[in-house]
Amino acid sequence: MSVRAVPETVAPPVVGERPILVALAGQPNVGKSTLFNFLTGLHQHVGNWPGKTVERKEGHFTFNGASYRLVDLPGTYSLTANSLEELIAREFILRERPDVVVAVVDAATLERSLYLVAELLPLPAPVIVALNMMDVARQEGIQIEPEVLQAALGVPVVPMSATHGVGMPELLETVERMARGELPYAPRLPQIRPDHQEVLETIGERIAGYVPEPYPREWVALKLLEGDPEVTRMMKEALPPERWAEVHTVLRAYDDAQVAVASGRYEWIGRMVRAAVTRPRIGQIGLTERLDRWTTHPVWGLVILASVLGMLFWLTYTVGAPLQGWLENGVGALAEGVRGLLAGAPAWLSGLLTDGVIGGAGAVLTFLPILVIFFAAMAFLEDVGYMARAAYVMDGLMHLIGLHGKSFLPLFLGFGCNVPAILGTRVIESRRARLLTILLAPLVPCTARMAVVAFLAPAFFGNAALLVSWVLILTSILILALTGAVVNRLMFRGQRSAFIMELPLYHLPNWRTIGLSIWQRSLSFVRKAGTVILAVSVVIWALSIFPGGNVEGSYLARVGRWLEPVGRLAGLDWRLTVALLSSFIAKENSIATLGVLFRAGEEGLAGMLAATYSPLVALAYLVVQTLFIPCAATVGAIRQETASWRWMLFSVGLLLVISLLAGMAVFQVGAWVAKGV
Amino acid sequence: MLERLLEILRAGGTHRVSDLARALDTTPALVEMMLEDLSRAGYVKPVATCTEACASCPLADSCISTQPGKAWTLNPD
Repeated sequence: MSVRAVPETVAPPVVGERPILVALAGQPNVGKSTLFNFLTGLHQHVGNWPGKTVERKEGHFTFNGASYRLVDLPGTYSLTANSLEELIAREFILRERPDVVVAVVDAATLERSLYLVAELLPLPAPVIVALNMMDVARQEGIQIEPEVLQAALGVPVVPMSATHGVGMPELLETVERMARGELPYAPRLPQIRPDHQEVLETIGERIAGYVPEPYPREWVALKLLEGDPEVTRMMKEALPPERWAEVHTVLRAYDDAQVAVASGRYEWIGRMVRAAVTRPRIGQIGLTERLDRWTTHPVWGLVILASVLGMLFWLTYTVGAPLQGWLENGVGALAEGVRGLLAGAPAWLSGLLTDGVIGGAGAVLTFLPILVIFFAAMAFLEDVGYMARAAYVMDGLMHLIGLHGKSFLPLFLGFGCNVPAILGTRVIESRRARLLTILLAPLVPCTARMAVVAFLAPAFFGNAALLVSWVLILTSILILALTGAVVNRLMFRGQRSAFIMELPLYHLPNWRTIGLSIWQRSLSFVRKAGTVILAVSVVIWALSIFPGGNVEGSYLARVGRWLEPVGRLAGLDWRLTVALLSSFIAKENSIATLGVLFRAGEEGLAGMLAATYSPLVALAYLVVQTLFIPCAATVGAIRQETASWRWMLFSVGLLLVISLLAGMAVFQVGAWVAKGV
Repeated sequence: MLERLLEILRAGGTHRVSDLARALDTTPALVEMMLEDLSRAGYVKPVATCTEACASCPLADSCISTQPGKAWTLNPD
């Protein structure tokens, strides 16, 4: 049942009485318009506030024989002087002195809605809170007790759902009784922070007698402390110069009083909400909180993260490896076919196509299954909402070691690709801190690097591949953390920075989004394989065949052997050294280069590598490869973001040293252990 | 409550909005309102995370971040 507001013609107003003026206040999107339209129906007039471009809606209705004038104030979040809407709203209440102000409040976002109420209560008009959207709040599992809220606020609270017409009669009755002065009215106003109470009183005293009508003295004093430009201007004109100078001095001494005023309001809102609102932990919020207890736990969170990484590699090997095998056979067959077709053609052409193109770029294509699995896993984790937790947990670890949040978090992007990580350091203001974080970015194992590891590990280690690759990546993260800690200790002494982040709710994966992401990234990779990697493969092939026609005597071999002594320290022969160098263009190139050098067009590269190198050498190679100089795109980003060739070269040099030392350590220690065994 | 929030932030570290809410014995919604207020007053700065411009970013293909998230950082005093 609902009471309809009756058009004027049916029940004429009592003669001599003016209509009761009601103002409708509230933030945007709380259902104010719905309420306004319900009450006034067709008896509304839309125009503009005098001299302004802001829309003004006014209407009238009759209830219980009395006639009412309803003014819809512009929707605002607060009543500062920052916008025309806010000024209009507060000026209306101050000047027109409505008989009642109905503050429409959204029960589902009570905190925000109450901020406006906190600013309405000190104004000289009685406020009734229309607690709207109770149905929405109930759906979201939010329970509010209107009576408790009423007791806490000290003003009438009417629960409603304007869209369904629920609560209307009660609201109208409450408005009527309030207008007639029949309701007790004792609002609990927000208090300014205690340490500013005295200053507020002092200001109140100093302006006494000079406050122009119709402004209330206490409200003006509060607004002056808040730094409200309109009120400040008004009082500067209204006060005699010496008095203003006094007030101004006091205000200047408390120039952060605005925080104290706002703080008081937040305390007030906090008390109201604590008293009247219960949010049972159901649904998405509850699930997220329960999962997060584990995923963001300082210890378990890291364990879960490490396990996720382990599962990633496991998935890659169980699903990716067989697919890879088929692709390899396919590529091998293609190579054979091409060689057959070109039996009569010049040797260099046949060689170019089978060894150069198919051997190189083809080898890289066979690891598309690995990449697709990586892309799929990352897209899934990101979509479900886990990535934010991974970042948060890893940040916790870094923090323990001494690396600040703001410095680490951009680096987390490096797990996809190092380039966004370097660009992400833009959030760091201090140039020094930025530079040092940029230096660390290449130590984050990106998808390409992890994929190279995933490709080579099974070739060398067979069943132990999972363990080896997992430990390798965890170790590289550890090296990142340690390097960061050292760098941090040297440069960040005593500096503190805080970072606040919001973790999104977990939600069910959207397969379309994930599929699209995988498709786009795979396409991007294939394009890269078809251009950059293909080009480099051809160049490597050419260098490996001239001048003599065989690999051992080629230009590439000469360069390789010249560099070999350095590589040997880590157990790498000239071919591995050359492959390593070619990874500068793109990480995947090391596979392509090995493919060309071993003429692996027809037989599998993996098999040939396993036959040629010992597991120790393989391990050393993987370590160096993972920590090596980043790809040209990353180096370019470093140069761009640091605007300095020196820093770029320093970064390249630093990584060269770190990777070689690590490789050497692994090889020499391993060899020593092997001798002893 | 604002000054308690600032105190916690000035001690450094990475905080989740839900942690701050717990520490201040209030709701995450109120914490967000306070952070926005502090941001207007210049005490904290909203961080423009990459994700806001994903649609036009050339690196969107290889980037792992796709979820919009809000983050703030303390402004140096």
